[in-house]
Amino acid sequence: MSDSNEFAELLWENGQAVVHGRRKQTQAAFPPFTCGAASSSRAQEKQPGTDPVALLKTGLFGDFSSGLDATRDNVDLDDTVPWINYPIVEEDTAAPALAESYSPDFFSELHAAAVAAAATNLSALPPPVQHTGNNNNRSTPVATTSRGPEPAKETHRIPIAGPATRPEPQAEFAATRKPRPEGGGEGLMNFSLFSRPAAMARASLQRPPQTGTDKASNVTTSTRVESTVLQSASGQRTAPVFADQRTPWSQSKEVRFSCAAAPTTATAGNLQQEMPRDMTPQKKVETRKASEVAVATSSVCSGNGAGIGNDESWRQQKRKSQAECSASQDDDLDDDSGGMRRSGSRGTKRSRTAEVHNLSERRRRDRINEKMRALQELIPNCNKIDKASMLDEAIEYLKTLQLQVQMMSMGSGLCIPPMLLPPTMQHLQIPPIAHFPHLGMGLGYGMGVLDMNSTAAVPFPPMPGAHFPCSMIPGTPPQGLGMPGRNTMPMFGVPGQAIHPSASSIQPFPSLAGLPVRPNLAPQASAVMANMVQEQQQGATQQQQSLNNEAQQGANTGDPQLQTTVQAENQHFSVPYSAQTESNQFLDGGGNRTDTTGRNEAET
Amino acid sequence: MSSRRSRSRQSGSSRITEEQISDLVSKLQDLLPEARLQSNARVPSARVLQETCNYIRSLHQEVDDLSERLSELLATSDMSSAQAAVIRSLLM
Repeated sequence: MSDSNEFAELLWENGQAVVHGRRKQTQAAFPPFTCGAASSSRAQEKQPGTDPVALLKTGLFGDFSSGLDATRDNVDLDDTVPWINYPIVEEDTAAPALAESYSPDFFSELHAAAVAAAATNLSALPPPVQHTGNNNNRSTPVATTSRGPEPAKETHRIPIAGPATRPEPQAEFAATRKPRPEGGGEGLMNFSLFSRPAAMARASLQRPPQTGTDKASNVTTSTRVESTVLQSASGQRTAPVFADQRTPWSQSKEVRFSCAAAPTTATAGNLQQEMPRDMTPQKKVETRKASEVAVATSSVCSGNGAGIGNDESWRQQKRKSQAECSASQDDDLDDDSGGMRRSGSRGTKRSRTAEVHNLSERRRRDRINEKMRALQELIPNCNKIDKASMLDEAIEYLKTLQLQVQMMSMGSGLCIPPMLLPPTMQHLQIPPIAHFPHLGMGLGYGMGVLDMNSTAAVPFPPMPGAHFPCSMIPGTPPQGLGMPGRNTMPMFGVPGQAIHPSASSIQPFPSLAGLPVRPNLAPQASAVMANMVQEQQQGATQQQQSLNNEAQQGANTGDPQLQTTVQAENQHFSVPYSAQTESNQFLDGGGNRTDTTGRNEAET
Repeated sequence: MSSRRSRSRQSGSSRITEEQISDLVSKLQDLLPEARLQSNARVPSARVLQETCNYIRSLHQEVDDLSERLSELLATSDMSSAQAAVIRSLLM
């Protein structure tokens, strides 16, 4: 009886009334609630230091609770949330989905009158007449006496085949449960079912079998959608994660994950082992049969079966129905229950490690899902439901953003220097132009190819999607300085040079050369172009790196403001190295100009 | 046994997307500036995603700053119409 006391403690989480009522239950009535105890103990993990967990450790659940304890260390509150939710969902929701397959067996547990009453509520379920005789045989004297009024009073008491004291807590339990879905107020289909008494009855009717081996798998597969809904309904108690419906993919994933997680597996396995052990001394029933029932069927069923003991046919039917049930589920459900059964027979160690592993795994997933959600919020117009396309979008958006920032800094780099610099300093504008990657590249490579073939060999990261400059600059007709037609070709031919296809309609050089090209007044781009064109016309091809450096120095000394601007932009830039590469590249090209260098020298 | 089974089961139906996602996350990681992640070592996906979020936010900030700057430029400078057009197109 101390066991049942413990048990009552554990159930306190689900409803106040349960505590007192359950305490008086006979041992036969006890096993049905072991799962409930387990679930509530999970719930209690949220409150460290509460007695129930400690009680669990010392009680007959020692094995199981130690497993729980071991996992508890590894779980923070975030992780317990799905857990806590899950047991609730088991009790409340898993049943309806299973109603079809389980109904005959559930009714077999009911008193005949109860069956009749229930049948009126659950018209879809055929009353299992063949079981009524067995039910009478099985039921304990106390239970039979108390059962008469039960069905008449409240339908949700019907499922309880326990002693007389039991209906009371159960009624209250159900009553406490009832407002929960309503309070959740998600307005989903299942809620209406649950708010109705008939639905309540069905839920509590179905509760026993789902606590058995199948419960995890059942919840996982057949009632996945419903469990989501109801988790959010019961989420008013606990999990904010599940109450939050905004991201469907993460929602369903998490639900599924929590359902499939080890705790349920371990629970099932451990319960299978422990319940028979517990029952045998007290009930003096054939232990083998009792344990068989416990393993093969739900805990409630096994409890009653142990109480009655002799009803072999009933048990066989139970088992058969279980087999049918699992057969009717998905493939992976079968896998799951099979795995659980095996783990139950082999030992709890593995399931415990699995529990730990799954918990960490789930925590990891939770974290990822959280970040995914955050990321999704950062991406405008991202309505993608699945993670993969969301990430795709994120990648694209990130690229776009990078490009945008790049272009904008280029744009400001392009425009600031002309204002800051006196006309005589135009040669200093080379570095900022280098921030114009494609343009700079175009120029640099073009010049490199034209003037010195060596620069073409310099590798440069391609700039996909770079479509800025050339097409945007209105190409006025070349003013006598237009590039020779042949010069445009090598530019396009340079590998890695990224000129957007749209730019090919307007040839880069002519379009740039179209800008004002008077050396002393022109903006930098045209000034550079002018230099280049002059260079080409002069046909000078010698490299003068030292002069190039001098030009750089001139930039440093001549205009500190520009220099800081350039540096700031280089730091600011998300791809500084590429800009630097361009800059060097460009300077290589620019350094070749004798007239440019001459001017540099003159200025320095 | 049960651990392997349940694990493979839980990731079973989402296996393909799991791989896809880790693939995408690594792509995302490539886009991040090196400084944000100590590269080479395998960075957990959650961290990559976190850094991506931060990076996107910083890029947003940058875009805001730059467009402010560009609009100032546009308002104050006596640049050529071509440059103005460029800047306007950037500010879009």
